[in-house]
Amino acid sequence: MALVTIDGHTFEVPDGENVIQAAARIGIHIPHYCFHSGLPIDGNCRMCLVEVEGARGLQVACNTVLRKKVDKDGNEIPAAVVRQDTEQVRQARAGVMEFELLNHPTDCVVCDQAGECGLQDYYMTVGKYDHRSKVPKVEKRKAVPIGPMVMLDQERCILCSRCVRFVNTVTKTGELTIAGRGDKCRIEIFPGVELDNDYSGNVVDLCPVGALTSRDFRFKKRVWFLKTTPSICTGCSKGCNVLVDQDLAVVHRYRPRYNPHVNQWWMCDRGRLSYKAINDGRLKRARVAGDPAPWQKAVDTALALLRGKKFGIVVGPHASLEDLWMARALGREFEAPLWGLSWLAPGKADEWLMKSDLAPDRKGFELLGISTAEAAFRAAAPGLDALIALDVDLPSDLASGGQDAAGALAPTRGPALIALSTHETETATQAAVALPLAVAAERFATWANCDGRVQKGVPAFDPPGDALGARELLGLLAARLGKPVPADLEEVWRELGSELGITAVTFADIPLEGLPTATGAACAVSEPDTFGTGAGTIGGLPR
Amino acid sequence: MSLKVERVQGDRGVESFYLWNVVQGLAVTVRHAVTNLRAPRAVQTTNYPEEKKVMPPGYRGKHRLVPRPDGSPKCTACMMCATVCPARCINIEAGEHPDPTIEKFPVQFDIDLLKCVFCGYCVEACPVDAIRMDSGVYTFAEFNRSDFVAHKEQLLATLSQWAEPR
Repeated sequence: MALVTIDGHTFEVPDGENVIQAAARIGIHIPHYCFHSGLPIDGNCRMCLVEVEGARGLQVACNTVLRKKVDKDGNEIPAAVVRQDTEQVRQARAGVMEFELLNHPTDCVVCDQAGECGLQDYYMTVGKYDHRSKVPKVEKRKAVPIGPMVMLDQERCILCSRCVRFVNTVTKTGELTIAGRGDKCRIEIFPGVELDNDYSGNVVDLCPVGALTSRDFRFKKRVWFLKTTPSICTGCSKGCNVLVDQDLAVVHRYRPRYNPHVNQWWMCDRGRLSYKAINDGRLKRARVAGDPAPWQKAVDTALALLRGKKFGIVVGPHASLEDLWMARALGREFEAPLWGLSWLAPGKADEWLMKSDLAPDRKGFELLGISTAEAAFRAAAPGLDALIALDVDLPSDLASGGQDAAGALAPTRGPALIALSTHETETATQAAVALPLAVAAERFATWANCDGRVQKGVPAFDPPGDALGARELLGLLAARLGKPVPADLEEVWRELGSELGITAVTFADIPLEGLPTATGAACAVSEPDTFGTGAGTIGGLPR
Repeated sequence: MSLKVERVQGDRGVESFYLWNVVQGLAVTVRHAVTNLRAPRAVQTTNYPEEKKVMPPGYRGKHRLVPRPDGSPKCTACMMCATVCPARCINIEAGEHPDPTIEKFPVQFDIDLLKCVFCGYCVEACPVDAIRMDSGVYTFAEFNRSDFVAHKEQLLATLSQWAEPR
């Protein structure tokens, strides 16, 4: 630990932190562009100038690294005595702002970054000068698509080099560079190269101005319309932490949310685009024998198929831990066999954030001891009267009730299928009864990622149409069948949490960065190399 | 503090029939009828459906989109109007403009005139003077609710009630 004094407050920070990070601990925001905790320090934007006692002139806060310091008597003294509220610092910041905006086109009106732009924010807080330059602004290339995810506008760039450092040190693909000199300086992509690595979308979040914007989000929504809620990416079993940005119950983008244990500041492009599944192809109304039906009638039909019958439950790995717990409780109460299965095709994987298992909660099967034996399921299914398919798309031979894919549903010859489904899947279309479910972004629920980390999500908006959460719907079915199972979130979590070894924690107490379970790491977390060592090197450039 | 309630004495007896007042009122009507019949040109009223009233400057009528010289809208789809709109009646879908010097333009620009409260904030908010409410159109009548949604083409075709934009 090191001592530091900022604006007269003396406090302890971990060794190796810089002044920007230290100040943030006591709620002081030091304006900065080029510094990012996940990238090596560059110190080029000069926005974070502060006064440091004993130093000549102003120092950049980002490169003032704090280490334990003792005087000659062995007493610990502050590693730095910093002031950032003086007139000199204010003038320096306004001056730097004037330089940053010297050649900026100020096209905020048509810029997607407007509303979350570092230039706008700092102009209003530390700038507010009149533009003095009479020289025409330098014109550069605008709206250059440099990859499938990213649009480059060279005029808006302030050359903080965050994107360059990201592709050099994090993805190590090195597609970007700063070319030219003086006011011709600009971000360029190497000739014949595209910015199409699996993590290219992160440069859009990194860019503090509107130079790199998302091609997917381009012109879709002005950011001040968006409401943000923390949730979990359900694109693969890694369960990266995300922020769901939505307006009027339409999700417009995912952004990564910092979690040091899972995804740090980043997320992959596949996960970033997986928000589209929340908006598209949803099952909104109940169905009976493939035809839209009132929800109440569909529930009654389902109950008639289940009451006094021998039924089984098959759950998919998209269901939350609470849903799995509820399905298991239902299974035990009604002596119904339970399987946790999915027929998802494996996706692209790497040794960092992308996993081949494209379901967010398969670990939940293991944690709750749910059988994943497909052969046993296939053997038992024809002997059942009814089958509840919870959030799982069955293969067509099973979905059609034990017959061939084209065959009509015949409960006498195979189990009558009751599909609880989030989307308009084949199973939902073929089922005797289909009831709509809420997706992850619409629920208070937890998912266990591939490392056995239990992470929670917060609903961004209400589910569409008649959709309900699986936990509530199963609780309702159990109650109507005469054997109520507690379905309240906190009641379920109390038992679920103690089973997972997470005691004395209510659902509300689960931190947003999640809690580990005692199962150990099943998928190894390999982080990119320590930041700060390989700065400026171009490794793995595709040539 | 207490209020002193004073009872006001109303008309009583014969006066409460207001016969004399009725006669007075009729006299005004008859006087106007006689005057107008003698000099029909001097009538103060407008022959409404045939004659339209020119609204005063600053009157907030139906919106219109100001065109560029080539006829396309000046609007840059910045959504300032949609942001400031208290009724949230403006729906803009932005798109990539074929001209590289223009960043974006409205592919779709709809104003729901049934939701609109005619506050004029959109006109105030527009940074490029692309939307105005100077058409002077104050009558809307349609057969369907959906016809009250004014689309981009319609808004572009609407002209100012003054020939020269002020």
